[in-house]
Amino acid sequence: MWIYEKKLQHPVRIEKCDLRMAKYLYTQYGGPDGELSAAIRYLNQRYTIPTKEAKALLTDIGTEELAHVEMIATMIYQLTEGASVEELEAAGLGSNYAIRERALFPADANGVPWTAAYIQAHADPVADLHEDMAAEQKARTVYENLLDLTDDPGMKDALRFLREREVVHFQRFGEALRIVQEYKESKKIF
Amino acid sequence: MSYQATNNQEQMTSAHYHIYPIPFMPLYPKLANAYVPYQRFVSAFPLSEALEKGTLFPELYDPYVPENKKWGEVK
Amino acid sequence: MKHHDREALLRQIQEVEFATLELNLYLDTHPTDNNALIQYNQLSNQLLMLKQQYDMCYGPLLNFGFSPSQYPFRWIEGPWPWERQY
Repeated sequence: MWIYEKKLQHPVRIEKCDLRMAKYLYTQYGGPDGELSAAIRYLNQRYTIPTKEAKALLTDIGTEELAHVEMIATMIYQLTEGASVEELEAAGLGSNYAIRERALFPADANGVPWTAAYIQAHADPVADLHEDMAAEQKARTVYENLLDLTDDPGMKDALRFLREREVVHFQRFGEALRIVQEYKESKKIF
Repeated sequence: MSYQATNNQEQMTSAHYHIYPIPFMPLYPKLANAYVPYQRFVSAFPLSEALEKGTLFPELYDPYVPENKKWGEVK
Repeated sequence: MKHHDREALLRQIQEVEFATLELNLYLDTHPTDNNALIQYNQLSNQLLMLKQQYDMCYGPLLNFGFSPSQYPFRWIEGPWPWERQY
């Protein structure tokens, strides 16, 4: 069960209309290392992860990732909302307009639709937690690429926040892995 | 205890608080294992600063410095 | 002016909730850290009060019965978080 809160996790203030950036942001909406991939990856792995710490962590981080999906979608929506067809075309969003006007769609920056092939699950806690840690690092570096592509202070604020969340999540998944390792060691001793 | 048996869901979900406290780094590190240092909560940012920075924990705050991306130019 | 007050209260909720979220993730992997747990519980109480205050002044923040509503059903009133006026 999930409850919706009528608020964003972190404020989004878009100061200038930058359609080029809206197109790039799509990679964190429906791209391989995007927030949707993250949410589905963790919420799907939690059923077979054995430790109680990791069950809670995958549930909680998976839920937080849904709030990040909302932040990214909000940025894309606000950037494209008032844009003219000519402006959308000039920014490379003409093909998106042809298919779905100004509707959002979980796809990457090139319009390639989101696919479950972006995520993995093996029911092995070591393998799954390594997958999750790698995913956080890949998302962190994508946020750095996006930060290189914009000067807008409001955009940078939100992207820096989301990037730092990847750092924190990596730490927590690393700790969940340490718990699995310690547990395995303790089973050998006792 | 065999290594395989620890993957058993029943065994891992049973109370295992005996593994705590978990040390900062493992006392006996093993090859082919990756270890992340275990955090100890000591201090927190003021709440408004935490929301701006993206973490409550000063020791986890690690902002992006674009210059650090240039690997080829390390002296 | 009214809009400004709403934004300030909302910002306060975002700040406290972010701190409880951070402590929640920390506690997931440190369930025996009592100091963190005490701070988590204190901030949870603070968060509950702030949300009740928001519900009373500006309409429901949560759906599915967690925020009671005046007549007519106020949940459907904007602005929604993705809208510029929000």
